Amino acid sequence: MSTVILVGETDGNGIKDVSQQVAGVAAGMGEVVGLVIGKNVSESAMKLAAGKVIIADDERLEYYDPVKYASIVSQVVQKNDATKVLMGATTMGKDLGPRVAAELGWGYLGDCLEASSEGFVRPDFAGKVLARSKPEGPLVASIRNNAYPIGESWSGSVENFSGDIPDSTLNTTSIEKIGAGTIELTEANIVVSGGRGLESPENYEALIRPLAATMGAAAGASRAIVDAGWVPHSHQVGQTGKTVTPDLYLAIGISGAIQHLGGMSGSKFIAAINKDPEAPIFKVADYGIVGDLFETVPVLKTKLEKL
Amino acid sequence: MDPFHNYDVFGYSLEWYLILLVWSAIALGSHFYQVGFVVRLIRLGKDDDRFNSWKQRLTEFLRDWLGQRKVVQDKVAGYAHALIFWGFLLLISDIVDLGTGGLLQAFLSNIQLDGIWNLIVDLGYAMATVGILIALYRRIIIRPAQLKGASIEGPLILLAILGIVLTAFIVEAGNMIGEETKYNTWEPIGVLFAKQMDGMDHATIASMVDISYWIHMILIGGFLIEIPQTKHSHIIGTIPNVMFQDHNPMGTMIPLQTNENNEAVKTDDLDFDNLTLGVNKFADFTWRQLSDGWACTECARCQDVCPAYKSGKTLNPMQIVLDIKDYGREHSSLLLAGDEPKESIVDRFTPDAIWACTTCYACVEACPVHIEHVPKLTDARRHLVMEAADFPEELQNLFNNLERNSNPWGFGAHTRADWAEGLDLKVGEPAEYLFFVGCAGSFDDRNKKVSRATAKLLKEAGVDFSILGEMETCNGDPARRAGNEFLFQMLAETNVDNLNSVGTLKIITACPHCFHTIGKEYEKYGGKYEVYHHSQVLNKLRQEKKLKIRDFEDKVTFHDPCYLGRIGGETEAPRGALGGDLIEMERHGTNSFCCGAGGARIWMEEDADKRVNEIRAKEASKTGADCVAVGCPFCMTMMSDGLKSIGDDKQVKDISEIMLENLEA
Amino acid sequence: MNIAVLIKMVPDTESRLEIIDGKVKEDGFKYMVNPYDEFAVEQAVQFKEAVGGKVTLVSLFSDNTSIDTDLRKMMAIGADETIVLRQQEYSGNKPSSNARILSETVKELNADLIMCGVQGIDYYQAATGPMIAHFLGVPHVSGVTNLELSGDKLIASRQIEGGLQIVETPTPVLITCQKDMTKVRFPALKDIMMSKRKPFDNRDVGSEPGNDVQTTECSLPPARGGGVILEGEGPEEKVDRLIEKLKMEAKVL
Repeated sequence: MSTVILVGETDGNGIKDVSQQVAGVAAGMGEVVGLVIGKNVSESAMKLAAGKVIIADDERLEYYDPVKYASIVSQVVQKNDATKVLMGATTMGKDLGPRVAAELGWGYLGDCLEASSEGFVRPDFAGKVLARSKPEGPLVASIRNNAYPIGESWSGSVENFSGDIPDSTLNTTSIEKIGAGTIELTEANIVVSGGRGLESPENYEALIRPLAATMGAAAGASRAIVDAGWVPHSHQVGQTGKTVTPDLYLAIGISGAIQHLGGMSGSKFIAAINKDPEAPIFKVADYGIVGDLFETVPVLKTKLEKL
Repeated sequence: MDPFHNYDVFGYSLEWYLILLVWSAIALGSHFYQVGFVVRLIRLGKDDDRFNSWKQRLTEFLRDWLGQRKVVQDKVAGYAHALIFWGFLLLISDIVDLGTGGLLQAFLSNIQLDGIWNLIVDLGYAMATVGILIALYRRIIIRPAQLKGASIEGPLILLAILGIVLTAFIVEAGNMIGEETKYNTWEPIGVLFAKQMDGMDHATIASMVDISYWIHMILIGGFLIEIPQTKHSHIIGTIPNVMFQDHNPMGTMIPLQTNENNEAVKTDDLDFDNLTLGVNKFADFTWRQLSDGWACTECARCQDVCPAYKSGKTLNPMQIVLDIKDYGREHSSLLLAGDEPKESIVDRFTPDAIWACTTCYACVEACPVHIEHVPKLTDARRHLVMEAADFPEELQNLFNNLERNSNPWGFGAHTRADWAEGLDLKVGEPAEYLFFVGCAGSFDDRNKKVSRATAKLLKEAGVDFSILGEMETCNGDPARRAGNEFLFQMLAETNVDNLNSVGTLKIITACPHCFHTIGKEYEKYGGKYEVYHHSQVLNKLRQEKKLKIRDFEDKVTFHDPCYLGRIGGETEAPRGALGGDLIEMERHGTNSFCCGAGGARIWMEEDADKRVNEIRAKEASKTGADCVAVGCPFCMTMMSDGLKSIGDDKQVKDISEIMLENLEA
Repeated sequence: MNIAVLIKMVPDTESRLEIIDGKVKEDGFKYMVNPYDEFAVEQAVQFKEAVGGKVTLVSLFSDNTSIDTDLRKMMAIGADETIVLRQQEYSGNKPSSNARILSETVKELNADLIMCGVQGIDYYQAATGPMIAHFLGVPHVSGVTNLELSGDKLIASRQIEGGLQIVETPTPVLITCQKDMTKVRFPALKDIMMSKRKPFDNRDVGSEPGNDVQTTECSLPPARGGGVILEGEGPEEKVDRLIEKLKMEAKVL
C-alpha cells in the first residue's frame, strides 16, 4: 500500500477541522503519515488522525513560509517513499501544494471538492463545471473544508522531523487580525450575508452586522457589494471570495448569481430574504421569504433577541 | 429762432454737434471694439460648417428671431420681451434721426413719408413701454422663483431703457408743442405727452426737452457700451445663434472624425496623432459652441427644466453656457495669444457637473435662442474618458461589459435571445421587419416581459419579422453619452455590419435609445434604416384594426421618454397605441421630464437625496392614476424604483403590455 | 526596478459553457485578461512610476491573435513591452507544464520582481505562480492584498484565515496578487492607441512535458433543489415561520 503524506494544520484550538477531514480522505488512499509544521505545535499535532505523525516543531517555523515548508514536505515525502501529498485547501494549503508539486515534479490538483481512491473532482470556471480526474502518477492535492466527516482523532507513533530547515529570505514580521472579535467566515456555523438589495453600505452596517452579532454569525457579502467597495474583499462569499459551508447560510438582498452560489451552496441549510420572487437564490434556498428586507430584517433581529 | 426747433439740423449749434460727435465716437467705438474682441474669441473655435441651406436658415431666422417663436412660449416674460424687441425694431431708426439732429426726418419729409415713419416710431416706443412695464412688474412685484437671486442688473437695465423711451416721448412732445400744427396726429403717444406739457412755460419745456434729449443720448450710448459686456450681448449674439442653428436631428452627435462626405472615418482608419478627443480647451469647441455664451439672455428656462439641477446636483446648464463666455473673457489675453490658461474648461465646468447630465435635451428644447448645452457636456465627457481616463468608477464596468459582452451589464452575449424562448421567432433571417430588441429587453428580467409582449402583438397582427439574436449588440448609446465615442463607434460598426448582412431595412425597437441611435445616427456609419418605435408600429396596427384592442379601463398616465418624445419627436403614436383616456402629467409630450436614466446616468451612482426619478415619480403619483405607462426600458426601471422609493405602489407597464392585456381574443 | 508580469488569457466569465462528450466546448470562448493579473500589471506600473525601471508582460497562449488588443490595453496602463509565447496546443489547465515554459522566458528577463494574479478564473488552481517561483529558485508570497516598497525590500500583506500575514522580503521574489491589492486604472483611448507602438514580441514555443493531471470528464454541477417560500401576512408572520423552521428542522438556533 502506498504512503500518503497528510499535511496537517493547527490553530489555537488544536488541529484544524479541515485537516482532520482530509485525514479521513487520506485514509482511503493508503497509509497515512501526518506532518505538522510550526512552532509549539507538538501537542496539537498528536491529535491528527493519522497512523504516524511527523512533527517539525521549530522556532524558525513559527510562520508559514513556502520555501521552508515545501522543503520539509519534500524531504518527508522522499524519506517515506510517499506517492501522494494531501492537505486542506486553506490559504496555506493552496500556496504550499503547487510549490511542493513543482519541487517533487508531481501532478497537482488544487481546491478539490471531492477526493477518494476513485478519483478527484475540482471546480472549473467558477464552479460552473465539475472536472473529474483519476491521476495515475504521484500527486499533490489540496482539498476543501467541510466536504467530509472529520477523521478519528487518534495518533499512533510520533516522530520529530530530523531533516534540514533551509534558510529563507521571507521574513514574517507580524500577523494582523482582521475584525478582531468577529467570527471568521470559513469557520462560522452561521453566516449572514448581504447583497445589492441593501442599497447602501450604511444599510450593511445597520442591518447585516447587528443581525450577525445577534445570531453569533459571521458577516458575509456578495461580489456586487464588494466590487462596489461597501465592504472589504475578506467578506466576499463566492467563487472569487470565500467558500463557506456553515450549518445555516442566510442570504439577505442577494439575488444569487451563480458565482455566489458556488461559494455557499455547500451550506447545510440556506435561507433567503429577497423582494424578487424570481431571484435565483430561492432556487437553492431551503427557506425563502419574499419581502422587503428593510421590514423583515429588523423583525427577525428583534424576535431572535427574545429567544 | 424757435426754441423748440433746436433739434432740427438747421438749428443745431456747432458745440452740440461736437459733443454729440465725440459721444457717438466713444460709444460706437467702444461698442465695435468690444464686439470685435468677442468675435476674435469666438473665431478661436474649430470649424463647424453651417453656411448652407440659406433659404431654410432665413425662414428660421424670421420665425425664431424676428417672430420670437420660442421666446413667447413663456407667456408673461416672453411677450414682454417680444414687445420690447419688436418695439425697438420699429423705433431704432429714430435713434439715427435724433443722433443726427433730425436728418432722417428731414429726408423723409422731402419724400412725404415722415408721417408714416413718425407713426411707426411712435408705435415702437409705445410697444417697448408696455413691454418694459410688464417686465418690471414681473421682476419687482411677481418675482417668480427662477428670478430669486438674480442680479440687480436686470431691473436697472429695464429702467434705463424705460428712460430711453420716456425721454423720446418728451422730446417728441416738446417738438410738437412748437409746431404750428400743434399736435402731430402721426404721433399719438407723443400727443398724450404734449397735452400734459402744454401750458407749461416755454423755458421749462425747452429745458425739459434739452435734458431729455441728452439723457436719451447718454443712455443709448451707454447701452451700446454695455451690450457686449453683459447678458445684453444677446441682442447681437442671438443673430448668429438663431441663424446658424443645428440642422441635425435633435440629440445627434458628431463622429470622432468625418471624411469629405461627412461620413464617420472607420475606427481602424482614425488618425489619432492629429485627433483631439473631446474638449478640454477653449479652442477645442467649435465656433458655434463658443458663440452660445454671448447669445444667452440668462432667462433660466434651461435651468428650470434640467433634471440634474432640479434634483440638487451641481449641474446648471445655464452656468455651463456662461462658464464658456466668462472663461473666454477672463483668459482672453492668453487665449488670443494662442496660449493655454492653467485652468481648463473641464475644471471650470467641474467634473461633477459634467457627469450629472442625463442628456435629456430639455435645456436645448427650452432655450429660445438655440443654445446647445448638451454637446458641451458630452464633449467634455469625451475628453475625460478618452484623453484623461478620469471618470466615475462605475463606468469602467459599463465600458468593460460593453466591450466584452456588448451589453451594459455584462451578461453572456450568448444569452441575448433567451427571452424569446418558446416564441418561435425567426432569428437572423431576412423578414419585412427586424425587431431590434436592445440590451434591456434582452437581459433585464422586467424588460424581457416587454420584449415578449411586443413580439406576441406583432405575431398576433401577422407582422413578418425576425430578430438578430446573438448577432445583436448594444447600439452604443450608453458608451457614447458617457463619452466613450470610440467604443460607441465599434459597437455601431458591428451592428451596421450585422444589420446590413441580414438586409432588413425596416427596424422596430421598444427602446427609444436604439430608436434614436439606429435611426438617426447610424447613417454616418454606413447604415441607413427606417426605424420605428414599437408604439408607432403597434399604433398603426391598432388603427388598421390588425390588432383588436379594447381601450384600457384603468386610470393610466403616460411618461414620455426623452428620446422618443422630445428628441424623437413622437408623442402621438404611444397615445394612439394605448387608446383610452390618459390622465396626463403636467409635464408631458415634448416637455416631459426625464426619468434620470439617460446619458448613461443609470449606470452611475446617484445620491439617495438627489434622485431624478423620485421627482418624476411624484409627478406621476400626483395624477392619481393606477398605472404609469412607459415606452422605454430605462424609464421602466427608473419609474418603478422611483415610485417604490416614494412609497407609491402604482404599477409601471410598457405600452405593449397594456395593449396585450386589452387584446380582444 | 525590473518587473515581469505574467498574464493569463482566460475565457470571459460570461462565456457559454457547454459540455459535449465530457469536454467543455471551447471554440466559442471569448478571451480576456485574467482579472487578478490586471492587479499585477497596475501594481507593477505603480512601482515603475515610483522608482523607475521596466515592466515586461509575459503571456502564454495559442496562435489566436484576438487577444492582442487586450494585451495592448494592459500595455496602455504603462507596461513597456509584451512577450507572447505562442503554443499551438496551449491549454490553461496545465499549470506545471505552463510554469516551466514561462519560467524559461522570465529567467532571461532577470526580473527583480515577478508578479501575477493569485489564480486564473478559468481553472482556479492558484498553482502557476508558486510553481514558477520554484523553477526560478525564488521565494514567493501568494494572495497578497497590499504590496509596498520599503527601500530595497518589499512588504507584502498576505490574506490568511482571520487576518493578514505581513511578510518582508528582498528581491528577487514572486508575488501573486489578490483582489484588494490596488485599483486598476482604465487606460485612456489615446494610451491604448499609442501602445500599438510599443514592442510586442510573438515567440513560438514548443510543448514542454509537465506533470499535469489530465481531466477525464467534465460535467455540470447538479442543481440544488429549492425549498419552500414561507407564506404569511406581513413580515411578522413570515419571520415567525422562518424561526420555527430554523429551530425545528435546521436545528441551528
